[in-house]
Amino acid sequence: MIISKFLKVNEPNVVHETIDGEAILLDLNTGNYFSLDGAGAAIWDYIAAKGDWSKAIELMTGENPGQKETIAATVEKFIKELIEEKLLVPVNDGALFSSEKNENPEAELKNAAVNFKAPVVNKYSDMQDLLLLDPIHDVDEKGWPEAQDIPPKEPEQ
Amino acid sequence: MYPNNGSPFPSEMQEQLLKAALLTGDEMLGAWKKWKASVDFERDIEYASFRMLPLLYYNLSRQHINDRLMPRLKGIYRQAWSKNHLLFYKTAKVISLLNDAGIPTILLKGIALTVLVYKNYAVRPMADMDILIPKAFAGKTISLLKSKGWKMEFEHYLEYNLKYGRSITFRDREKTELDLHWHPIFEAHDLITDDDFRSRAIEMEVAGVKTLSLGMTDMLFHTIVHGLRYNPEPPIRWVADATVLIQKFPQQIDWDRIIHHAKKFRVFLQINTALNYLNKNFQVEIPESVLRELGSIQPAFADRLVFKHARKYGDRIPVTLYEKLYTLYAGYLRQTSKTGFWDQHAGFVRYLRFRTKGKPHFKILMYHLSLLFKNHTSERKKGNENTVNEIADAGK
Repeated sequence: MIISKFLKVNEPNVVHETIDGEAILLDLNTGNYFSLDGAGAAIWDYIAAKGDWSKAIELMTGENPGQKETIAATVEKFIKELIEEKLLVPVNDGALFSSEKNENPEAELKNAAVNFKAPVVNKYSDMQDLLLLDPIHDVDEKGWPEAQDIPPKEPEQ
Repeated sequence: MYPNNGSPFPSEMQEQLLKAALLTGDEMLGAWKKWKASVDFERDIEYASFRMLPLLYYNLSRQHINDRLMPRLKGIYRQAWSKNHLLFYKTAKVISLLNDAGIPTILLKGIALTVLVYKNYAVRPMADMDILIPKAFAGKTISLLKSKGWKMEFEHYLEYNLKYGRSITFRDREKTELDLHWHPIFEAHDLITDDDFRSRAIEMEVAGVKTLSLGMTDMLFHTIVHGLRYNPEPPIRWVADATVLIQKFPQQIDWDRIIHHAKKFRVFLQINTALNYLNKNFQVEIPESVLRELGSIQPAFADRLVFKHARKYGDRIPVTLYEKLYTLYAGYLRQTSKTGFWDQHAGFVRYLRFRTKGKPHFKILMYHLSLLFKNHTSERKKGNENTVNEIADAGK
C-alpha cells in the first residue's frame, strides 16, 4: 500500500528525461539506469509533474473503464516498484507541484490507457560496463544500452 | 574519410554533419542526406563526428525525422546523457570540496555550456571537468585534491605549467579526468589577470552545487580561442558550441568586449577567422562592424606565428627537431607580453634557460642531435613517444 497522497522524484539523486515517449532515469548514488516506455513513461511524467499518483490511476481508469481493475492494480504495482527502487519518494505537500511548467501530462496518460499495456521498469545495474559499451558497434538495433547478443564461443575441441 | 588531419575546421563531410545537427528545414535535410550517403555508419565515424551524434539526434528528432538510424542515434544520446550526469555529479562533489575550503571556482567549457547554453544534458558529450581557480590558490587546491585521492598526471610538468602553462590534469580512481586551470587559455598569460574573466562571471549550479561560469561573451571568446587549435581528434565542436551560443543569446554577446579581449590577449587572428567561418558557412549573424574591425588589425610577426602554430601543431607532441624548436618558440611567444625584437628575444633566452634547467646549450644541442639521429634510425612510432618536455628534461 502506498501511504502518501503525493510522490516526488527523488532529486537530486535521481535525474530523468523523457525522449520520444521513453523516460530514462539515472540513480546517481547507485549508478543504476532505468528505462520506462509506453504507459510507464506517461505515468512517470504525470507523477513527476503533478505528484498525485492516485489521480494518475483515476485518469487512466476513467479513460478505459472496461479494464478498470486491471489498470488500477497494474499501475499501483508499477508505482510501488518505482518507490522500492527509491526513484520516487513520498511527500505530504501537494503545493510542491502547484507551479505549472506548461506541461500537459494528462493527454499522454489518457492515450496510454486506451491501448493499455502493463508498464515495465527496465533496470540496468551494471552501469560501469554499460558505459564502456561502444554505442555503435556493441549494441543491437534498439541502441544503447541494449547490448548485442553475442553467441557464446564454441568450446575448443 | 575525414581528411581534415586534426584541423580545427571541419572537413566537407564533418561540415555536413554539423549542419544536419544545427540547422533546420531543407538545409538540415540536405546536409543529413549528404552525410548519410557518404558515411558507413559502422566504419566511418571518427571521434570528432561521434561527439556530434547526440546533437544530431536531438535536432533530427525535434524535426520529426524518421530513419532507420534513429534508434542507434538515440542510444548514443542516452549514453551521453548518462555519462554527463555521472560526470556532473562527481564535479559537484569537487566543487563542494573547493567551496568549503574557500577556493573560488569557475567551470569552463562542456559543463558550463551544457547547463547554461544547451540546457540539455545529452547533446554535448565531454570527457572531463574543467575548473578555473585564481592562480594564487593553485597550491592549496592541488594539496586538497591530492588529499582526496586525485592523482596528478605528469607532475614533472607542474613547475613549468605554473610559470608558463595554463593547467594541470588529475585523475581519480575511476580515471575521471579533472583539468585544473589557473589560466583559461594558452595565450597571453603575462597579460591576463584573474579579474579579466572573473569580473563578468555568472552564477550557475552543477548537480545542485553553486559555482560560477564565464559570462556568455567570455564563454564565446573562450570557446573560439580554445577550439582553434590543432588536435589529433579534430576539435570541430567549437563550431556547434559557438553557433548555439550566439544564436540562443544574441542580446548577451558584448561584441566590444570580444574585440577588446581579442586585442588585449593578441588572439584577434583566431577570433576573426572563426567568426568569418561561422558567418560564411553557418549563417551565424555577426555584426559587420565587428568583422571589419577585427580584419583591420595588423598582426605582428609573433601573432601570425602563434596562430599558425596553434592551427598546425596545437597540442600535438612534436617529433622532429624542427617541430620541437618551433613548438618551443611558439610556446614562448604565445604567453609573453614582451614586444619588440630585442625585448622578446631576451625573454626567450630566459625562457629557454628555465625549460632547459640552465644546462649548457652545447649539451642540449647534442641531446637533440642524438634524438634526430634516433628518429631516423628507429621506427616512427617510437619517435612519437618523445614529448615536448624532453627538452625541459634534457639536462637532468
